[in-house]
Amino acid sequence: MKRINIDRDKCIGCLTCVTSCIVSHHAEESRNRVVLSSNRKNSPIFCRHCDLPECVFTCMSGAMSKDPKTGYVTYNQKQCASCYMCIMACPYGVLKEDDRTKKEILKCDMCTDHETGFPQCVAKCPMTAITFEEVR
Amino acid sequence: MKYIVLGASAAGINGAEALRRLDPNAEIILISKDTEIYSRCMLHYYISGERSVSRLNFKSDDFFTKNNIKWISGKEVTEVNETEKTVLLDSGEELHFDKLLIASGASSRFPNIPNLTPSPYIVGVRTLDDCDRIKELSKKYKHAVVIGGGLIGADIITGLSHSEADIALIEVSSHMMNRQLDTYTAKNYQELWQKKGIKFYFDVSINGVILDKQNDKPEYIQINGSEKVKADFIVVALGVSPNIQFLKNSSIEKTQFDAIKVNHQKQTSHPDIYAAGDVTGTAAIWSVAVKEAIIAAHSMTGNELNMEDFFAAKSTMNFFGVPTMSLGQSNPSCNTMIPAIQNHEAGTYSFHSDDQEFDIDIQIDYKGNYKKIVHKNGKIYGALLQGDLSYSGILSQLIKENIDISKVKKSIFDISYADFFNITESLEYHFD
Repeated sequence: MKRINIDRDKCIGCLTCVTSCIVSHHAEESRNRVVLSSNRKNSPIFCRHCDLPECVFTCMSGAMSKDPKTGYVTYNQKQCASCYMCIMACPYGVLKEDDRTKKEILKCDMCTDHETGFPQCVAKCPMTAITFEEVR
Repeated sequence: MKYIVLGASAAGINGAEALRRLDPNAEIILISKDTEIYSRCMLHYYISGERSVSRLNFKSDDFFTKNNIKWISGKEVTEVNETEKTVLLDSGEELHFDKLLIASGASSRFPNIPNLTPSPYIVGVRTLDDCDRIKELSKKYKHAVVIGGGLIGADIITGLSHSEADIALIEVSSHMMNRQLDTYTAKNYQELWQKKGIKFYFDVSINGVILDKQNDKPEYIQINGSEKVKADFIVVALGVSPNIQFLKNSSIEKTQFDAIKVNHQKQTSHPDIYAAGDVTGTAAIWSVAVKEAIIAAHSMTGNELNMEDFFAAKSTMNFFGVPTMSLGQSNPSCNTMIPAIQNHEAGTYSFHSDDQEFDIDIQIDYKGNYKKIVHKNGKIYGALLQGDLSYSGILSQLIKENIDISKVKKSIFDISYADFFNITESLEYHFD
């Protein structure tokens, strides 16, 4: 499967990835973020589409599932019951509820619905701090 | 290889699915009393009418055909014969297995209170049938009483708040969801329920149910010695006990709590029989049931999977659009009263638990979002968030893994994965 690699040394915290995420999903908020660590390092926090996805194990509605073909962890908003167990279960604190309705979980979908089918955060990163790579 | 799985909820369905993934050619049979696949965690949406049965399904409609699993539904297993390796169904049918996964779940527990026994008017909340009954009763009768103010009780009063019935909730402790919430966060919800007309009786001792002698229908519940709470029907939400009736003649070892005893691989005392989910008596939590079932499926197919995470003191909830998350020791005993907190004033507040063991930090922001972190010596032991749960999953990891946060040089409310950032060869995250 493919994952987004992150090279923190190259990240300048320009937030182009955050903006492209919002644009790609015609959304009000982004599904990724860049956070400063206590030693002042820009740290992109992006969904890993884990091999053993805690958000899927904990999802009681069936909204979160691991696609056996792509390996991506997908989110189906229509099925979601807004119980927030996934937010709690993600060990890396990637997930949040949307600010306005508090019903939707903001979850990376690798831009599979975008016309290019390519993660727009990666496409637009001016520093190649994030790259799209095949793993295993 | 022939696998039989008993039960069609979190553990049974996910166990069967994992078995198929790990053993593409095996014969897999799933047997359940349930005739629908539904998430028990969403039953309150069914009671309120917000979801139909089909929208309670947590897998795709073609789950059984897609995974080539034979589903025997509407039948109950009455006996497991571990010597012959067969299960006996209530239809008289006998089925042989090579390996068996027991994921038969649990049923509502009815504690020893006079006349509080299952009847057409006194029901638990565990199955669709229970919910159909509750819906019917709430249309027909005026006075509904829910006993138990835990998460399930909270779900039920929310589901029932859409009905015409007058609802009362009886709870032995001092506030709703006593295990998860502190008085501050509980009160916020209680006020919302009270606006919907729900009446609370806290710190109550229950004497018994007084029945109409003619038809065994409840008249009222007697509490605190002489007080009467009118009750046409009663919903009991006081926890669960494992479904092991069909093992009464079996030598499979049980725990002292009448649950099935399993080892790390989810194997019972019989080498070909495994168990997962509520029937093993571990925390009745969805994710625990799913993980146990996946571990069991690995063991049953000769694979190994270690997922040691069974940190169970965790829950989230969402009533009236207000999210809350509770983790670990979120409410250590504390009599320190800070008026500003009681008044919901924005600010950060630091104090200690009564025994001085824990430091407690509370942050209330200008929107009223509440964040409480319980810690000592650089480790977090509990957290309670209400209003905004954004990115808070990190807290469950820090508590569960006992991770030292003293190296983090920022406010305890702002800790994030950036402070532990580490990326593996397969580009997954891993705590540094």
